Amino acid sequence: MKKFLIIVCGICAVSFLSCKKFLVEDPKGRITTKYLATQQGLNDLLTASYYDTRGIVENLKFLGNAASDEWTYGAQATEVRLMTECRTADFISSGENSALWSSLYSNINNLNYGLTNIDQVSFSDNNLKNRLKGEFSFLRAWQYFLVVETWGGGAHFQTKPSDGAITEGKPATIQDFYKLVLSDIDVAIANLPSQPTEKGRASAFAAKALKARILMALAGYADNVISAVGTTKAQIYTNAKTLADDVIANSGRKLLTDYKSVFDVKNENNNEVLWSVQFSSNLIYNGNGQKLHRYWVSQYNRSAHTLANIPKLPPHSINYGREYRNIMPTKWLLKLYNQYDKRYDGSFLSVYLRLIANADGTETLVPGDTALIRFPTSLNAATYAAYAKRGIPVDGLDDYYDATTNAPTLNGRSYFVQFSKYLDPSRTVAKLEEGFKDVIVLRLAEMYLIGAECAMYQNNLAGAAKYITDLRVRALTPGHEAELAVDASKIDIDYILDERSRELAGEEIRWYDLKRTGKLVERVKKYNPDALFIAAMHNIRPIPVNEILNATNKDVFKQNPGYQP
Amino acid sequence: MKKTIRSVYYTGFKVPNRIFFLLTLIFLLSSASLLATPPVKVNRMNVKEAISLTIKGQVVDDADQPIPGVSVKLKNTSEGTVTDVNGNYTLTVPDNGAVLVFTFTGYESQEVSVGNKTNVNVKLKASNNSLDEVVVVGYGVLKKSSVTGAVTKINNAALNTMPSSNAVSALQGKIPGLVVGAETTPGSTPSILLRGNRSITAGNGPLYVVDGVPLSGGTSISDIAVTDIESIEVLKDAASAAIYGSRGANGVIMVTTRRGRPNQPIAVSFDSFAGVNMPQIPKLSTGEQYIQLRRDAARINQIGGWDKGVPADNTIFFPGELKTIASGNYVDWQKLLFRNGINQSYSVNISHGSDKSQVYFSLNYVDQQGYYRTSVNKRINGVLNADYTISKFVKAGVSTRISNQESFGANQNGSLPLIYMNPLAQPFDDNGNLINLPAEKNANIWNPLANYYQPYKDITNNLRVNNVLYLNLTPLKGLTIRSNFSLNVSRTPNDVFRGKFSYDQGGRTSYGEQSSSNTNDMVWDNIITYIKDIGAHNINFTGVTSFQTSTNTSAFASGEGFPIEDISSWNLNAATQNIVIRSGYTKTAIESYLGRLHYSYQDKYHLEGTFRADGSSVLAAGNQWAYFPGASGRWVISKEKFFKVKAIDQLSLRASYGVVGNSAIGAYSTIAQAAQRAYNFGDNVYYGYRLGGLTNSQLKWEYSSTLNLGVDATLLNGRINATLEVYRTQTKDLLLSRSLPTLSGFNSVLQNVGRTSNRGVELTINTRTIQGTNFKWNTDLNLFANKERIDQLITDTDLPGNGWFIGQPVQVFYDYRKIGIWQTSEATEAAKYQRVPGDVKRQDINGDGVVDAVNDRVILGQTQPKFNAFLRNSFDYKGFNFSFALEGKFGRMVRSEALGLDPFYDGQRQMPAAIVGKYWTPDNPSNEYPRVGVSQPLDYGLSGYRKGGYINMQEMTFGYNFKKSAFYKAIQVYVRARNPFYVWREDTNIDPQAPGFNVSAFRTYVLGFNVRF
Repeated sequence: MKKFLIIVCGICAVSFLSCKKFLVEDPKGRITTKYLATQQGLNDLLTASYYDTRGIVENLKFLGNAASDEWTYGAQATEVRLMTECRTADFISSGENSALWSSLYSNINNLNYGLTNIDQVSFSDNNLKNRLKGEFSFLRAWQYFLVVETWGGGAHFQTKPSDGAITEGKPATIQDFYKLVLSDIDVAIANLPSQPTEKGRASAFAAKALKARILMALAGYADNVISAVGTTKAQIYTNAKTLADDVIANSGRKLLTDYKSVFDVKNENNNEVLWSVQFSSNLIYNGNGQKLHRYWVSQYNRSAHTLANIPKLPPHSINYGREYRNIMPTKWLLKLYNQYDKRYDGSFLSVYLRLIANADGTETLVPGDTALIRFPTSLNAATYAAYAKRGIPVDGLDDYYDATTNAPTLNGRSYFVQFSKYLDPSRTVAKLEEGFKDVIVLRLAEMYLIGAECAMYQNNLAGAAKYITDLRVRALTPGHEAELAVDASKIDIDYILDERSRELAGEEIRWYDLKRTGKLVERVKKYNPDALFIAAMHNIRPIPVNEILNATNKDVFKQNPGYQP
Repeated sequence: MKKTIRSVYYTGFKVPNRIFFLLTLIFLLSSASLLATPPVKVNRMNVKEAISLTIKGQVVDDADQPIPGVSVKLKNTSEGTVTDVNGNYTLTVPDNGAVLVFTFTGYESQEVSVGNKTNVNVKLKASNNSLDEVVVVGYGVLKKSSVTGAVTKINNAALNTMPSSNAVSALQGKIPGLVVGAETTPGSTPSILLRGNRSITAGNGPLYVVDGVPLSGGTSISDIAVTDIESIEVLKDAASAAIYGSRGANGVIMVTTRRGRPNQPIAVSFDSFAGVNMPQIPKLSTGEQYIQLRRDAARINQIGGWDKGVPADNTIFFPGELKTIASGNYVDWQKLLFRNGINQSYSVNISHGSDKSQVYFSLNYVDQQGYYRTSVNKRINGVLNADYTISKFVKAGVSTRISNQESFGANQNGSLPLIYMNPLAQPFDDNGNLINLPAEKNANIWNPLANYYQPYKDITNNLRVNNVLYLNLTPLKGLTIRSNFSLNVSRTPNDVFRGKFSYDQGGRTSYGEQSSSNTNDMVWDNIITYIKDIGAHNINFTGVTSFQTSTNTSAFASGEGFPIEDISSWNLNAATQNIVIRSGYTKTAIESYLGRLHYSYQDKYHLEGTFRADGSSVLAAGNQWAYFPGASGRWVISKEKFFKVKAIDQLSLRASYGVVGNSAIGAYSTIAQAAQRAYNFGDNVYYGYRLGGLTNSQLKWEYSSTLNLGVDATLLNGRINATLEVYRTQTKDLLLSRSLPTLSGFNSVLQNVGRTSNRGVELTINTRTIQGTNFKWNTDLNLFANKERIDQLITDTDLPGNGWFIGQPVQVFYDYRKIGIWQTSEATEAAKYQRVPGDVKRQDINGDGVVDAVNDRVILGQTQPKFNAFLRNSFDYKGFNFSFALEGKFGRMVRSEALGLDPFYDGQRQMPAAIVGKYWTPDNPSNEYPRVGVSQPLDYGLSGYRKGGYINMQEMTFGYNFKKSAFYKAIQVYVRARNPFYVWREDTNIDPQAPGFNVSAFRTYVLGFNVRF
């Protein structure tokens, strides 16, 4: 009996001897956020912040372009259609709108963390510290600039990293945002090296180009806003022009002689690019990949004119893309280009060569064997007949658009002229959605257009004409230079906006350009018959509905005017 | 034209056959060797010598058959013995008028005064009173008549009525308060919810306790064969579950596996069934119907509109499609993609006991084929339960379960590939080769049959070994000390290879993966039990210390671009790109102390108090410890002198109140982590790190308290057993993953916020309606209703962004209300809402002329049923038996993507036959489904909300039991159907148990054969 009592007591004693460390968590192998508050940690945080820019350019695909005079919706569109038609009540629930919002604020929080901690952390390398500060500031300036331009002053404003759950939106004013954006971009200009240390990093000249773009947008606001920021419209045009001139003259960047090659995936990091978001064919580092190549692609295995199948073209391909049919050019955009303007061929795909899809997933392009031509012009019966004789299917403008309403036809929304700037023939197989092509955010050509616009506002039309003439050099077709000659007397803001379309079509900036110039409603109504409900309120986007529903201060953090009854 | 299916892992009958033979062989050999064994010599228990009298006797049943294993105890002591194989016993007792107590499960206990007799023979009466059953209550057992909480017990016979591969699926409908979902893929454990959702985020799954050991990370209830289960007890109220404290919030399901009984003769049984699993996938439209759909879609969207007439076919269809139309050779993709799978199960078990040692051994094999041809689940598992009495004071034993479950996956990316494949798209070319991109419309969709014809595998192995060792000491009369040590080891390797041209890879690259997750769970429990009778007072005390750790390590490696696909995933270093490696480690720990005191007076009044202290590592420091009390009582009114209702044999009232917790959140939820992101600057590549998810350093336990009132009654000489439970559960400090406005950079945070409540009623009635010699009829009826409600949220207002509304159930559908389709005559009105005819008409709730997400969404319905019913009838007539069970759920809503989301996307996709003729066109002004069209109608998804009430014929069995012979004790053959048909569906367009395109509740028909020796 004693023996058992001893065993009993033994077991009890052992089992009540609870070890104090028993419940302490040891997160082995996990990298905690403490790591970020070190020199190397901040450097890595910056790398991750660049990663986040991929999401931002992806989420600008429609919001940067619609509703506008340039683009309308294709057959397989939900979001582009909603934005183009400007269906107000549906817009507040738009997934694209909330995706852009979330991707911006998610990154801004990291940038706030970086900029708040950079002066607390001890650096052994002071150059690195300055560069990091410059790059963080550059990215935050760009992102808050996008925030204020997209959602206005009622968007959330926060410069410190979120410490715990934040459930209150803190609206500010346009001037609050612009003060921060301008101070950030100045820090960037002061701290960044004039040339990027690696391809894809921000440089001082990229920051200057961005500042010029920011100033042009600020100039679009009322005088009281501009003066609250501490400047004047005239001063803005002077400063923006100086920045543009500085970048043109001193950045070491030059316009390429071949417009098309600016967007050639084999020519990434070309001399016209000031800053681009990087993607990689090394899949480990490509994350979700570049997916912009998909949205503008039409169906090309069928003729819009005859609706006959085109056996020489597979339904989708590496070279011509995946036929998403989300977004397509308006009739106005196709007609905007002079037939001798080489930028059209640099922006759109006209001639499809025969493609042979090989069993191993590769493709063979057969030069000289034309499978389809899609013209941006109306064709007459003789032309159709002439091509039919040669066995080449051709489509013309009247096949894609209704001649009276100018809206795309049923078939036109599937078989349209497709935009080619994002096409990525470096993808390895047709089905690959994760492309490798970099996305250009800032390039030199825009500086000429900003220079021209400033000059125009300064009533220096000849000066404005000079910028445009310089920009058009590479657009010219030998022997037809006269067709693209600039008539200085005709230059006004519409002229500038037309030229911006020819040069920058589809580069995720059109909606912002129309907004800042106050031309959104007028030009969209005029040139885009699909924009059924556009009104002045659509000059800012609605705050995504779940942001407000999940916030706890709905009395302060409110929906933008007009979006909610 | 069909090529042979060459997917390596597509399996037919070959493997099962081999295993079947092996099992049969084992079975035959073991039977033969057992028959050759001489009869067991019974060693009598070494009872303390005393001045005394030796009593002998035999215990028999109503039919004068001896009953082995009956417990014979000297009243008010722990001394006693059990009857041997012939029902005989010998016991030495003091000669002063001892009283012997004979007890045996399923029989009424009997007390006999010895007097000066030396031979006491007893006839035990089969019990009609379920209250005599013994019930497992957590760290101990109680007689059902003294149970004070809400505990439902189900024994093996009641469990084993369906061809189910696992215990959860076998429980469907049988426990009042327990809602079990359908088994939709082979080997999957269905969803399970007891008495409604309490927690919003932290998991609502009950705690499983197998042979006294709580399951965690590395173990699964699906490892246990139904035939190995002795009984399942469900602890439903907090007072009962409080004994499991922090993990009892969602109820506790206690599984007891079968063991050998003392002095039990050798018993061998073989159970088997084989049959077919048929998918119940909604029928899609025929070739002609699909052609009409395309014509209608093109006609609606053409310039000039509907009135212009049907456009020419060659402007609608592609050349290949036109060829199919001309030939009429339409393709039934469902037939090509799905199959009727074979479902088979075999098990052998042997049990035996002497007075000192008892053994239960079993081996089971289950093979279920899913409806995708690549989907197979095979499980082989075995059990060895052994108990050995070392001396009068010491007993030791082991429960070992080994299990290997091999799942061959299907991975077909939801329903999409199927509905993109229309009847006009040909899967094979003229040479019989698979066409990679078969649909000319939706040309970028890979052939969903590709996984059958290309190298493809996705094999998950669940290799599990669960061991419980115990040592049981009885140093003093009434005192038991038991130490359980349990080690559960789980290895889950995953082996994936997908050829370049498989469906999943779609021509990109070949992909191989090897990964493994390894979990070791250790539990050490020490349990002290002290039972003492003092006159009419009975005290039963239990004290426990418990330590539990769960450690998981994982490793993952994958690569792409293999030079030769034949090397499959067995040589990952041949991968040429995207080589990914990962590893992980998590460890959690729980430390607990608890006590329970049960007091009975005259078996009339029962009181119980429970207290548990739990510490959990996953919570924030300072909040790790919590305390869970419970108190309950039972009053057996029928034992009172004043109670004289003849029809009522037994009537008792129960009341209980207790508190339980929930800490079912992941490890390291309170530690802020950085997330890795990879980026390149040109060709230079880097890993970066960003702020990870938001953490909450304040996390603490979620508490649930339940007040439960119960009535148990036995009527008409045990003819009717009924139980009624009424309860109210209140949960506070809800662990909630709350959606945040993303403006802070984070989209959600885990918080303790809010309160929910569940109120409900459960009624169980079991009747032995007719108990004749030749004809028997039994009925089981369960009815239960639960009302789930959010009482409070952090902001004191609704959080519509999260879908949470005060006063509403936790899971609701919150959306616009569809009130029809905009008709041509309403075009002007529709335009005010920025809609056109054919779009879905949504109700403008506040009537302001705009339908928007803030003001015009409403709660359309709840996902959990408001009311559940289960009715089982069984009839026996001279060896023939017939039974059926009906299971019903009422007042629920489901969302069907088949009817709402997919078909309308672009008017070109295949659609369910249910929609044919009901979609809107100007000539068919339907109010059911919107228009089809090249451009999609707006708000089409709203058609997917369907009423999900149903009454299902859950099971039907027709069988015959052969009469006992010299060679066997019993042979049973039966045919059985599971889910053969719905008796009633609120919405006949959907399968309410699985409303999708490509998931299905199995419809199973099997032939069964059981034999016992």
